[in-house]
Amino acid sequence: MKRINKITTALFLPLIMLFSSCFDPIFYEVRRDVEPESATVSGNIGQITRFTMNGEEYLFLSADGGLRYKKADNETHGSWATMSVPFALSSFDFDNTAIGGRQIIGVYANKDTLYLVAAQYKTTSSEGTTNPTALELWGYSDQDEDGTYKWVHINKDSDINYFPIYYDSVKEIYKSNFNVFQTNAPQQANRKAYICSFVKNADETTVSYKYFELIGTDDPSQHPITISKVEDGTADSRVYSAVWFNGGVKFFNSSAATTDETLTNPAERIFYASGSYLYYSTLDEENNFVYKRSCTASDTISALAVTKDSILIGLGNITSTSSDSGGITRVLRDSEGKPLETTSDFTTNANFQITSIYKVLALINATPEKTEEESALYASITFSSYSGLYDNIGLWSYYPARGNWNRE
Amino acid sequence: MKRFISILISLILCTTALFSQEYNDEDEYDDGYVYEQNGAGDQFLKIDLGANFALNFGSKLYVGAAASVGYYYFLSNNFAVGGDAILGYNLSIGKKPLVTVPITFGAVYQPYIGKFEFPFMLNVGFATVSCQQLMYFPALAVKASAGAYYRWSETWSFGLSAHAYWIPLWYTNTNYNDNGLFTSVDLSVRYHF
Repeated sequence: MKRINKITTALFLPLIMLFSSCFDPIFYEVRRDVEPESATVSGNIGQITRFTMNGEEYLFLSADGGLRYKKADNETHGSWATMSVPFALSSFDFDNTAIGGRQIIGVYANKDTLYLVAAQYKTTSSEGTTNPTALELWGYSDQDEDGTYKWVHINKDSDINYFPIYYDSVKEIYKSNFNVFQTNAPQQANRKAYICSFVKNADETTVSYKYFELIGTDDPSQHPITISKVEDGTADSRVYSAVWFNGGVKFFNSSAATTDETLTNPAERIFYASGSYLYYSTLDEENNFVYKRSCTASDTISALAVTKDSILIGLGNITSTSSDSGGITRVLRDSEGKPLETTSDFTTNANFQITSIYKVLALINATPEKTEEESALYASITFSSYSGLYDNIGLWSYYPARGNWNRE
Repeated sequence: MKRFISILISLILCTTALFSQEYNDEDEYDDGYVYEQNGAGDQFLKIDLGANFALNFGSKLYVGAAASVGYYYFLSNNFAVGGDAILGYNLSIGKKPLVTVPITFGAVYQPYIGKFEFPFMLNVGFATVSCQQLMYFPALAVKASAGAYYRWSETWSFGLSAHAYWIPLWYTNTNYNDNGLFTSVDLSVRYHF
């Protein structure tokens, strides 16, 4: 019997090792590691938004320190400036046990207006919790077209509450169910932004979504829209993203959708993710516009950025609060711009800097007409695992002159 | 009377000196037994703690730490077989922790001079290498060690030991093939039983 046990062990041990085997190129990556630059743009950054101001292209985002921006063609580390906003930023008053100011939770833009969604909070001293009390929509634009940009509190006197907050007494948490999405197109004229709000139905359990287009600093109630087609769902599907394509806006249930539009050329293809699958638009044999599946990523796709020769794929389930995998990968594009059927290793150190311990919240290519190695690329990341470094949470960048990914 | 008692006690105490015998080497019994610190069947457990150095990564890895545990069984008074596991930890230049865990099995040849013991080990086994949730398992691991110990007592010895281990990583894409060479210098304690 003992001999049988030994033989069984001898047979199964190699099998266990075989099935649990894993062969990542660790030493290869360690040799390409770089010393981290100082983290100048930290925090959970949900969007990196293109905005044109006085004819200049900028990138905007919300990070620690407030509203941050830089010129899109500025490819140097540490050059994100801080823009003043018309309200105090959120801070805690220890003496009075109160939280004051507002936290910027989203930055969006259309062709002429920059939008902020800002949250106010209150602290309950009895329970020691901080709860949201109101959300505000602010717009920043050159209303008089005299080169002077001004902030306007757009929903100050609105009859509609675009950002309803309700208390889930079962889970004892505050919830909101709105989202704001934008085309974020490289070309100014193709930028659109929308609010998806909701109202509870009479049964008090289901909700109906309502969509509004953001135009200038008008109250969104002036521009309600009906979305009749969701590209990757049914007409009833909720919309989380939009792209500008072929002279109009296409809406997606996926939160990761983009095109290959450049600063000068219109988009030829749409790319969107569904779970861990990447899809692209093409024409079938009968010349019908269709979507086809290309590669499969190792985890849920959270963000996409297109370069001339590849598509960067951010990973991580951003709607999940649980610990799961993130990371970044890429797929090469063929001569027709279609993504290949399998992902490819990076030639840069991206894979080692943004590994599966970080979720990718947003990706953008500031120079979409260029190849991956020639482009200025940005990625915002947050924790997907307990083993991440707090200093790494925030914005990362790749600049061609530097030749590697590093903290921004 | 008191003086008499004091003198009597002093005399009684001195009687042991009167009857004592001189020490004579020639009278000692010799049975031919030679005491050996280790013999066949003896075993020891060891624990090492020290610094870990990456030898072939240039400036990409900082000096780290190493800890190891091992067990060996003597087949003769200076030859033992067994195995040990090392946990090596080095931070990369990008502050990413590289963890190497070679688990190896092999032999020890241990000459000794007086109470000083000098083990030389050669081991082969497998290793796990991980960093940033990247992993390579199983990898080949080859380890050579040397040490110097003072046998404090029958059951304990303390000393210094040094390990050098090689972990090659091989891939179907040979561009990724690489070697990791590490060495650790440790304070070591062994429990003999």
